Amino acid sequence: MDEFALDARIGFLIIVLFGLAWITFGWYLGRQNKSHADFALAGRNVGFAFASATAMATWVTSNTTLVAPELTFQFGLWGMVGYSFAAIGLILFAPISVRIKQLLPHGYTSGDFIRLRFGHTAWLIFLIISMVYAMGWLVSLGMAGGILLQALSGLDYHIGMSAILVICVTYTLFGGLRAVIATDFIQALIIIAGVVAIAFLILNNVGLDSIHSNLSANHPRLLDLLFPAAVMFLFNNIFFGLGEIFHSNVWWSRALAFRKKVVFRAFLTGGLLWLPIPIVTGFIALAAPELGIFPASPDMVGPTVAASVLGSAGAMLVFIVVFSALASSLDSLLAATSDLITRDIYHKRLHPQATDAQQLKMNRKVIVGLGAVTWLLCVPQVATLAALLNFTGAFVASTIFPIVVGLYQARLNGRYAAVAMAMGTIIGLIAYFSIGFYVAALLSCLVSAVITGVGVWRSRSRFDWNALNEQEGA
Amino acid sequence: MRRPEVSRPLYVFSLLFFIGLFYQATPLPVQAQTSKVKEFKLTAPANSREGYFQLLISGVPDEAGFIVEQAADESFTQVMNSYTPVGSFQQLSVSGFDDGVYYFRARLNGSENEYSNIVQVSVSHYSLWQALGLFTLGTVLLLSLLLTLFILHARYGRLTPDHKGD
Repeated sequence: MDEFALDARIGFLIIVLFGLAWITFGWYLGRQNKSHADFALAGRNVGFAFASATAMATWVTSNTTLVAPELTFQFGLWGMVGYSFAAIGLILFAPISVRIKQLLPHGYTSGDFIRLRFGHTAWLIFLIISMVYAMGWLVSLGMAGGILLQALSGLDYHIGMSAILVICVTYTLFGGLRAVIATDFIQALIIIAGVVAIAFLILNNVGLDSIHSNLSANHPRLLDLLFPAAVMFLFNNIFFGLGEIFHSNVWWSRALAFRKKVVFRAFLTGGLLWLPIPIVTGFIALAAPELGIFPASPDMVGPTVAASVLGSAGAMLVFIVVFSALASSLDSLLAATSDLITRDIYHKRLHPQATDAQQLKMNRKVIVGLGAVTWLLCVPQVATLAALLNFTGAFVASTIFPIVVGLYQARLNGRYAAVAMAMGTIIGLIAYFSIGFYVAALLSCLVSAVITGVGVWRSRSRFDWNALNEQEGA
Repeated sequence: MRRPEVSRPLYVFSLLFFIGLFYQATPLPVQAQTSKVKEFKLTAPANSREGYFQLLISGVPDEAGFIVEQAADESFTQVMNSYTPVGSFQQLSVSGFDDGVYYFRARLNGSENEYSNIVQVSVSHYSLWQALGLFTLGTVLLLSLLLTLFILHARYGRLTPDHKGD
């Protein structure tokens, strides 16, 4: 493939038009926000349709649209099937979200739960884990915007990256979580329709037989179900996904924002809707060798293949789909992370007497600050998307068992939870650098699980659940 | 309660930002070169445990493209495969290689005798027993998590707010 499929100025024009539409929509929805709760949790009143759509759309990220093809290009069949197992996290969060709403009727963030349930030491460790993950994900999303435009049109990486960050920061500033969820609904429809159309057109144009023949002859490992690196990647990816969802305020804020009667069904439906998407997007990458496409970086393979087969119109479709996926996640992450910082650090530690208006103002400043820091970290483009994300796996996987057990079992105390998260993270990082990314999340979760289990076994005290019912002003 | 407003300068900034970016949006090659570099060189990792790696080229003249050839022996008795980079990128990614030693060289487009150096990549996959060991560990851990969650939720998930758990 010698030419780029999309003219750079057309790509940029699409960004500008989408950006203006989203910012206007965000401003319109933001007029309904009367309090910090409105801004941060959409008034705790989100219904089933929007709830399911935002759960699905937020989980369709640059990972799903760019990393799933990347992993398929590198690991073959297990890359795309294994990646789809990340739906397990959303599905298992369904019962957990019910429990969260039951325990935290006035809660705002996942940090609230950790602080009230386990105390300040565990809370501090949890905040570090959350911020590392949040920044890793934010940077991967910002980078993905630049990579997307560069792969399709040759446009300088820094321009696409900067544009998507400015757009998402701006409409999140105006509308808060209400704008995030409403735009997610539209983006979910675009993503589902677009992905199905792209996969159908590729199958129609290239054909399954020719793809299989080429891979069998020249890249046999991609079809091998006993491909060692792929097998090693599989469960590491599952636990990475579980850790992402179980700990992240992106999902806790949604659990607290959805109506009580819809929260279980919304996460279950979102997970089931999401499950086939990485398989479809990953499949696209298997066509690359047959088409003679060997991308500069493996994270470019998805949009490059789609654009090659579908021409300029297809490139535009790919661009719109991936841009929607990026925006739907970037805005959620900005909103949730700023909530965490505003609530847990600013309100609970620095300024306990902060009024609702002050918290709202600080929330907006934090959104801008996060956008700026993300931009700075995106500039050097230090790693591929998959490598960047897998680094955070060692952190987030350590939170799985402390959170699950902590939500239901009163005998787990803060000291063991803190040690579980800390040791899990440390062992995971050691494994990441000394063995490889395939084992980081898996070992982190294992160590954390063992320590959590010991904590429950050795404990002689029981937590008073009423302590979680923190009123505003406390 | 008066709702805080987002400042007006934000609108102006956004507009100026987009105008500025638009005039920058010309399709420049990612690694555009302004002068002809004499050394035409191919680099690649010596080893790969996963069967995928990147090939990087340097010293390609401005107007020329290149392709990368692959052979089973260093003398390139027979070219097994050829790889063309996307657009004007000066690197490409390949994957799915089985255990073995592979040789690569780059050739300038339109030329039959201008070649880069030859690089050798040795692919040696992780042992299957190591992989299956981690697979087994992962399966056990996931089943433990599922069991823990289902038992705890079944036991405590329906309790009232006044009696929330053990």
